[in-house]
Amino acid sequence: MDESIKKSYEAWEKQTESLIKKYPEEGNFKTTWSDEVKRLYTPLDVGDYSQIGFPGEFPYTRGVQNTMYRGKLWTMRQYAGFGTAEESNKRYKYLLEQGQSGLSIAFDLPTQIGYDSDDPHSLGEVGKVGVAIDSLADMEILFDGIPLDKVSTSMTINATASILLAMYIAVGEKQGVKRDKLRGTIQNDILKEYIARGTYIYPPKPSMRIINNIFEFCSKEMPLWNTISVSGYHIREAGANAVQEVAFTIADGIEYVKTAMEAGLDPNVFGKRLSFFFASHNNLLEEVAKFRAARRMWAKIMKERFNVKDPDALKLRFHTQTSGSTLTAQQPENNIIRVTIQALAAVLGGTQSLHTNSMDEALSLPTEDSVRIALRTQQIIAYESGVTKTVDPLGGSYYVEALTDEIEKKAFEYIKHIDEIGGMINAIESGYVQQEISNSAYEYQKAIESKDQIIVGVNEFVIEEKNPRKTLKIDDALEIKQIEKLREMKSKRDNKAVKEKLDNLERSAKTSENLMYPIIDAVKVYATVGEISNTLRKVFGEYKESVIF
Amino acid sequence: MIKVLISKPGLDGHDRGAKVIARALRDAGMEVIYTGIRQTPEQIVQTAIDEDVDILGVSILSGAHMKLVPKILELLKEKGSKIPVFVGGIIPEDDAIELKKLGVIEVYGPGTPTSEIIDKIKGYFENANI
Amino acid sequence: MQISESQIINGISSKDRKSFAKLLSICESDPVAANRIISRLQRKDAHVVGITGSPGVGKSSIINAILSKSSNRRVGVIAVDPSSPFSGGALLGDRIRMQSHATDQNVFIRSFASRGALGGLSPSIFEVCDAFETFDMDMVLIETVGVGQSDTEVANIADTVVLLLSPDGGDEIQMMKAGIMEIADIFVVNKSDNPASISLKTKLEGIIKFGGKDIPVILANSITGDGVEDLIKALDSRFERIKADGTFATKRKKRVFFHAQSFLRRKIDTIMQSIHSEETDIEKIEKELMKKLCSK
Repeated sequence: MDESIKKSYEAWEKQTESLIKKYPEEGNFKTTWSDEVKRLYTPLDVGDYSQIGFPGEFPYTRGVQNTMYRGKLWTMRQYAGFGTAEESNKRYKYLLEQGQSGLSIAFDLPTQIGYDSDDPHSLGEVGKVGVAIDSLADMEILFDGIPLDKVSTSMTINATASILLAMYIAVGEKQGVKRDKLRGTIQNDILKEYIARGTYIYPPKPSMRIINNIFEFCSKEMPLWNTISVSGYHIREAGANAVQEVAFTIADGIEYVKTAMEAGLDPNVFGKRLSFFFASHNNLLEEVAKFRAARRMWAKIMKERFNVKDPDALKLRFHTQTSGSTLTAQQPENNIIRVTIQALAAVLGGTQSLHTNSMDEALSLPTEDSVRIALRTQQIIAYESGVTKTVDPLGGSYYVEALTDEIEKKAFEYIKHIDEIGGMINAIESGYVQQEISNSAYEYQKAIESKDQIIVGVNEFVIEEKNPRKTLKIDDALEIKQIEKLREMKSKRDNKAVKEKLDNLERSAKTSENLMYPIIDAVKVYATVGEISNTLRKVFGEYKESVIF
Repeated sequence: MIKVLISKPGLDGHDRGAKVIARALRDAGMEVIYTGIRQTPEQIVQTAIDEDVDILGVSILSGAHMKLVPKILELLKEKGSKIPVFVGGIIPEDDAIELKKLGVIEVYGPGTPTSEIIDKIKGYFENANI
Repeated sequence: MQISESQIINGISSKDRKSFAKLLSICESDPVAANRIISRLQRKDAHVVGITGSPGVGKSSIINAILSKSSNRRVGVIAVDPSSPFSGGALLGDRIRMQSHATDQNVFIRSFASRGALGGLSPSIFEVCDAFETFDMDMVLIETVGVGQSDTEVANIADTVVLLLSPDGGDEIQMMKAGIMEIADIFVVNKSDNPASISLKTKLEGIIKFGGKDIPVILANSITGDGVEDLIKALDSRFERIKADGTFATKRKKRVFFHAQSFLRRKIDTIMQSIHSEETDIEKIEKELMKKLCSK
């Protein structure tokens, strides 16, 4: 059969070539990683069917569940959090009422980097990109009236993940919910912080030790908790292309599995507690192929490299967020359409949960109206578009399958190279990964400026725009209020107990003990995020970025 | 030779824009010094003065611009420096107007072509030399 | 903003950073004026140390570590990065790793682009180095571009050359080929937490002994600062020694000669770049150039 298709295809190409002489093709026919896109894809471009397979079966190209969205829709999880714990608490309750199925918490930068609100580094940053948490007192307010045994909570927290997790446990205990009943995820992916996102504190080695401690702790005490969300999102947003996003994220994933195994965890068990987080960009079919390729690659790696037998530990489950960096400040309504395409790609790619960005994010923090539109976008895809009616509807598309194969091949080449240079930590310390991403980012910018890449409303179809839009502002008084709250809390707590617990933490940090236990002890006596982080800074030192442009 | 300092105050690690601008200015023939992330206004201003740069670029995406940029301007003034300042990042329009009133020469939002920034800087010095 | 030469001189005498920063700019733009200003200022012999080694070996980090451990002295840093041969522009990022010292009043860091200079240093390096000695510095650290062969130039200006090596580089062989081993006065093996660095140290000591020399090899970690105190000690004792045995005086005398050479080369370069000839015959162009050169 291939022979006859090949013949007909060649005849068709020949005929088309002659047509092109009369009606030339115009446009950019390249993938976003600069490979040629063929005019037409046929069965000749699709390999062995075993690589495609069936949903819920190895190599999981078509999805991790047999019935996918027919059984259960993805979780609609909007990342939110701003200002004080009180305000964020109100927003969470609003989102839960609107039909959102899980909480996703954004913390402000001081909380993420381990500074208290009154630290000089925190000037102007308190409550800006997320909620400010200084101590357990703030966390108690944040979850006030939200039963922790009923919700699953995803926390975007990395360098200080151990501290925030400890606080979550403490809040649960106060509500009478035991830690083994808590459900949720901490991002906890420090490697991508060095690569792309920048909210690191300590050098890679001690940071990996803390992660190792969290893995071990949760495997014993919190069986329902997802201990890491290996994140390609920020790598992509920093300028990586789709291939690099998959390659570097999976390479990070490999490093974490190695760490878990060092902590004595069985990858058959640990594999089930690990999830991924990807970006979704505008190039619809590439993105669908990317998710499918990532799933297949991870299954192969877990099976072949780590000898995993339990099928559930082979499955790459992932959260997706639409791309903030593709949103434009110009004609912001256009962003609704971009988000729709990106969300559709995530759904067609088989995501387990999804955050859709708000149209005004390139202008400021999102308003409540635009957050609602973003959530509605997901609901329209879920309930009106019909794409959920069958599993992996694009499976078998010649182009999508060929793209899936190509992304897999190219990403495995990167992973091989990273192995050769001694693994991801070395690749990061030497700046290799950062340089690759930086080069892609610069190439992309040049493509926009030369109009090889059209961005509607930015370098083409531009209009004169007037009237500043309504944007959400965080009141500056908030910072002062938060600092006052912190000072008051410090004057009321048992400062002797705080010192004792911090000293104990410092002692533990110098040994190889699991740090989760002394951190839980410290947060319970209201030691602050800054105090705990500074204690560890004393022992571990601080990381400085490498010089990469 | 135009010498530029690209700085990143505040705590956010989103340095993609800063680095793209740095490279574009280099490719336009300028000498570009980059401070790296998480710089305090004090560090930025002292660096600009010690390096005797012609112009200072400030990149912020965390939303802390109304605290940090005025602080930078104030410190420059305090030290008797007249280095012009431009700002890039996610800056709401009314904030941009306010910052320009305080003396920032230009505010660039997402999607600004690097060529526009290059032309502006070059133009600024051509005019200043007359 | 123009300020006059006497303002700069007064400023520098009262340790004003802005005036000193201006003088460094003049070193780059107008060497004649720079030399004139410098000659009117007080100078103090600082220990001029060249820090060289391949890109990525940790030169900026080790300088940062030195700065962190020399709180009571005044240290200047001259950080050189390459200019782009295409645009003439440059990305100067060495500071990133030293920024915690940006507001340190005893430290003055300045970035320079190589601007096509021979030897991986800035064309104005001699003026700049002299200028730092007018700013009451105890030590001046020069970070080279670090591209092997051309880095030997730093020996013409520095009193002491420190060669930084890393066990991951395999770069010791490159360095030996480039002849840079001959000019190093102190070796530093970076990344002391890597077991391979100890074997590199042993290997180096073997090579040095074989060459009949006595050059210290120091194990250091530029990130944690381990071993950096040993490096500072080695630098200080070398400075004492070369001042006592006359090496320092000889080096400084030679430096004046190299400075003159560099000054002339820069002048010639400027003139050559200003000549545009329609001639197609090499000999005729050469004559034209010579005529122009001699007339200036």
